[in-house]
Order: sequence, then C-alpha cells, then structure tokens
Amino acid sequence: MPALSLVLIATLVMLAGCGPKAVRGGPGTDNPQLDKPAMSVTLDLADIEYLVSENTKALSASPLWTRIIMRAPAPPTVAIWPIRNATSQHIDDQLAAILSSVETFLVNSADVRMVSRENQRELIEELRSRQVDIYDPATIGKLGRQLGAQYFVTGKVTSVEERFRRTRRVQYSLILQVLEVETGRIVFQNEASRSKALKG
Amino acid sequence: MAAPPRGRLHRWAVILCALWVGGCATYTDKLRQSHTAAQRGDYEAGVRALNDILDVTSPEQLPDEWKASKPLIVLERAMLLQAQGQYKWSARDMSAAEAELEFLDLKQDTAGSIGKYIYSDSARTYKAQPAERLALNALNMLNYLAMDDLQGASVEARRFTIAREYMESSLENSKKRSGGAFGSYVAGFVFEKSGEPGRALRYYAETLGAGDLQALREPVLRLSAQGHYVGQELKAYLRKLEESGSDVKNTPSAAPDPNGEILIMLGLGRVPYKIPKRMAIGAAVAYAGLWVTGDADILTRSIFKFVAYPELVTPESEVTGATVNVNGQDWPVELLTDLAAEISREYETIKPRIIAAALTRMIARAAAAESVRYLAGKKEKAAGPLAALATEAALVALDKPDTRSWTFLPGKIYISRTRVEPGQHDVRIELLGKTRQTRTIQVNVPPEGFGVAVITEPR
Repeated sequence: MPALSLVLIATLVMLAGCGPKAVRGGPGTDNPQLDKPAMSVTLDLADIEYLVSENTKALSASPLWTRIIMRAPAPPTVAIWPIRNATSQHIDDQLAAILSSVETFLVNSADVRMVSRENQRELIEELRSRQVDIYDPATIGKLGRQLGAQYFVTGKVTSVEERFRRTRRVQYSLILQVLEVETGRIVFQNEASRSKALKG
Repeated sequence: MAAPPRGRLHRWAVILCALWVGGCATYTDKLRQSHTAAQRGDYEAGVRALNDILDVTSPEQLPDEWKASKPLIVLERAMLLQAQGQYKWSARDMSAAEAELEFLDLKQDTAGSIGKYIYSDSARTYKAQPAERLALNALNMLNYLAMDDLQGASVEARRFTIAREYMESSLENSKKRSGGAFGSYVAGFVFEKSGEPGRALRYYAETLGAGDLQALREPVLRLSAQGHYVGQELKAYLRKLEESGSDVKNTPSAAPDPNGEILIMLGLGRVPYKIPKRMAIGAAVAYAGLWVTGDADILTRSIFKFVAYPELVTPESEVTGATVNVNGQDWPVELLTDLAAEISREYETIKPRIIAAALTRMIARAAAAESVRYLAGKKEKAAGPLAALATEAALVALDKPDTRSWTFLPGKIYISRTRVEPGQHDVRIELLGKTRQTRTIQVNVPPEGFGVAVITEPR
C-alpha cells in the first residue's frame, strides 16, 4: 500500500511537471533568444521595431526634419493619426504598437510638440460612428486645423500575400507620411518592408 | 485455467463484433446534440454542446489544443454565434479557425494520405472544400459589417481574394471554380464603401452569374453613372439593361447622393451534411453463395466486405425564405448564392475518389484477413476462418467514414438592398418556413453612409 501511494505521488509530481510553464525572455534574461523566432506570419515586436526604426531614421534624416522642423523658431505642433490597415491580416494591436512607437520617437526628439492622443480618441470615435473616412486627406486637414497642428503624422501598412504549394508568404510595408495641415501636401513619405513566411 | 484456443477466438470475435457494431463516433455523431438544439432555434444550447466538444466553458474561449476536428467545430460555433448576433466572438472564431485550417493545409500529411487508402477515411487532416473556404471570409465580412467595422471587413475582403486566387491557381480545383458570388458581392460592397469604386465594380461583375439582381443593378448603374471604369462584362450587362429599356430611366444621377443605404443579408437553412454509410457489398453475394453451395466458408470470407464512405444528405429546413419590409414598404429579397447546391456539386465531383479510396481500404482489409487466416490456420485449421473474421471486423470498425464538413453553413444566401434617407429605420424581417417568425431591427444610416443587418438562421 505505501509503495502504491509513493507511485501515485510520483506520478502526480511528474504530471504537474508536464503542465505549461511560463518563461521570461529577451535581453538580460536566461532566454535572450526568445523573441527571435517567428511564431506566425503576422507582425511581431521585432518586425514592428524594425519597420518603425527604418521609418523614423529616414524621417530624422529628411530635409523636412533637418531643414524645416529643426530650424523652426519654435517646435512645430504635430498630431499623430491612426495608421491605416491595408493588409490581409487583422493587425489592430500591431497598428496601435506602431503608432505608440512613432509617437515615442517624436516626443523624445524634443524637436516637435505633440498633440495629446487622448484628445483625438473621442474625435475618431465620433467620426467613425458617422462613417467618415478618417484617412481622407481633406478630413485630416480639417481636423489638423481643429487640433491646432501644423503637421500630421500618419501612414498605412500594406501587404502582399502569396501562396505556392506549401509556403505562404506575406510581405508587409509600413508607409509613414507627414502631411502639412495648411496645404494638405505630403511633405515626407518613406517605406520600410518586412516579409514573413510559413513553410509546410 | 486457460481457455482452449478456439474458445478464445470466439470470445475475441464477439468482442470485435460488438466493437464493430458500436463503431467510432463520426463527426456528424459528435454534433448531433448541437444540431438538435439549433434545429429548434435554441442556438445558445447549440453553442453549449459545441463548447463541451471543444472542452471549454464559454464561447469566449478557444480550445487550448487544436487537435482533430477542433478548427471545424470552432467554425460551427462561429455560425451559431452569428445567429445569436454575437458578431465579435463569431469573427474571432472564424479568424482563429481559418488560421488553423491554413496551417493544416500547409502541413505535410503523408501518414493521413496513405491511411485514407489503407485503414480509415478519416485518417487525413481536414481540408475545407472550396465553397466552405470562400464562404468563411464572406461570412466574416458580414460579422465586421454588422459591427460597423469597415476596416475589418476590408481585411476579410482581401483574404477572400487571396483564398480564391489560390484556389483558382491550384491544379486540383482549376476545373471547378466555385460560384463564390456571395463573397464577391460582399467584397464589392465593402470596397465601394471603402472608397474604392473601381475595385468594387470588378467584384460586382463577378456576381453577374447569380442573375440580374436588383441589388446588383442599382450600385452598378450608380457607379458607372459617376464615371468609374466599367469592365467588359459589366458593359455588356449595362447594354442589355439599356436594350430592355426597363431600368435606364431610373439610372441614378451622377451627382453625389446624400442618402444612404441598407444592406440586409440573410443566411437561411443549412447545407447538406455527411452521414456515415457502410455498404455491405459482400453479404448479399455470400448468402446467395451459401444457398447455392451450402459452403459456410463463403460467408466467413464475405460477410465483412463493407465499403465505408460518407453520404451527403439534405437537412430539413425550418426556415426557407424571408420577406423584408423597410419603413412599411416591402423590398425584394433575392437569392444571391445557393451554397447547398454548391456543396452538393463539389461532393459529386469528389465522390468517385471517395468511393475508390473506400474500395481500396476494403481490399486492404481482405488482404490482412487472408494473411491472418493463413497464419492462424497453420497452428489449428479451425482457427483460421475465425481469426480472419475477427481481423476484418476489427478493421471495418476502424474505418470511420469522413463526415467532416461545415454543417452549420447556411444553405442559401439572400440579399435585399435599398437606398434610404439618413436616419433611423425600422427593418421588419419575416422568416418563412415551418416556424414563422418576425424580427424588427433598428438600422441607423448616416448621411451617405450605410447600415447592415445580418440574419443567420442555420436550421
């Protein structure tokens, strides 16, 4: 009988060991490579970091930034607008992460003054409920003036998806744009791309 | 005390026969409870039954493991959730199941492919049929439209296009392009409302096969009057309309229209589903042989010569049609796609392959039984036939007809589309059939905007 109990306990301990286990990963942890492998064809943090950094690098090196924004007598006011999803994937969370990363870059640059996104949230919801195209340049221009912004940072993520036999590939592009509110002109545009694939 | 060998074999034969009679539960067997609940209109109970199969406690949960037919069960749940108006969870289920089905589709399934010809029809991983695959994105477009999420709907419209292009490019399906009018129409609507009229017109052109629908005529006339590019197929269609002279005078003006519109999509009834069939092709021959020769050995060689395959059956529809009334005025309800007919057509195309695989499995079983007969007969002559019989019975029991299909897919898709003034509108829908039911829905239409009502009755 005691032997049977021991066997039972040992089995239970073993079974407990088979359950899901949470691990910490990334730089400075025991699993620095945890974020490296791709888990699916959607955009992950590594992709987002790459796409945003390529675009913000291009923005900070652009004539708009070096000749106009940095030389302005006072930091221009910039508003940031949702990124359009023109892909074949539901990537709402990733779009929010992209927007936050771009906003972080702009805020930390100290070269511009940012319009709080909190003020825009209600406005966007209201526009959406009226089915107004929030990505229409005319709408953006009107709103920019309403928010007192000189520039609007926006963009879109596009994708090209293909499948051949046992491979599915999605090529993503993040197109970052800066619009001048007064004229409605696109004064900066850059594109960075990343591909993901699932192989059978 | 050990039983004599012959007695042991008898016992085994009885056990195996019992196993054979019981058989393994097929996909359709597993869904019986959910089907019964849905048939009486109790979609909540239907979802609960599916949750039990998925081993989850609420419709908000997805299975921890996507083993066996779980992606398909999640799709079944998505339809019942859509029927309940739970569009958010229905959309989530459809997207999650779609990702898993794609993953399975990319996976190498060598063992399953061989197994299908050796021991069981259900050995292969599930692959959605073209009509099911295209309906998935179309139905999910409806979920997003019902939630007033045009961006989400346009993602599904792009996914629909990719799925269709892949299907058309694949050799296996090149000759049997699915109608897909349902998906094309909804994608056209989504792109029209997303400010891409040219693209919308291309999709509308693809629905011409469904006939001269009023729901198609109005947007095509309006968009072409606004000067958007019209392809050859639509040009021919417009010429035909002009020749008939009926609607040209009602051609919408090119000027911007401050009015909006209401799109009502109805998914009624259920598509045919599969039931397991075991055709005893050996029994009749065996009894005839026994009567002529009196040799009982014929019976032992033929009695378990079964062909196991899935047969398509049409469920009885509780809801067979509908009438639509907007603000007191009746509007036509038109058949956009007969999914039930598409599913039946697809099944008829693949049926010869299914039967061929079933016959191959029967031959494999016979070969295995004869081997056992030879080996067992070497030790004791009388044991051979019994061992062979037991082996064949066991293998027949293992052969599970593949009844997997998306059973809650609506049998017929109807459409009603009407232009209305901006504001709140009362939409009254009367469901026709065995159980008549009336539903009144409030639809809000912003200026130049749209409202979408989705009615799903998969019963």
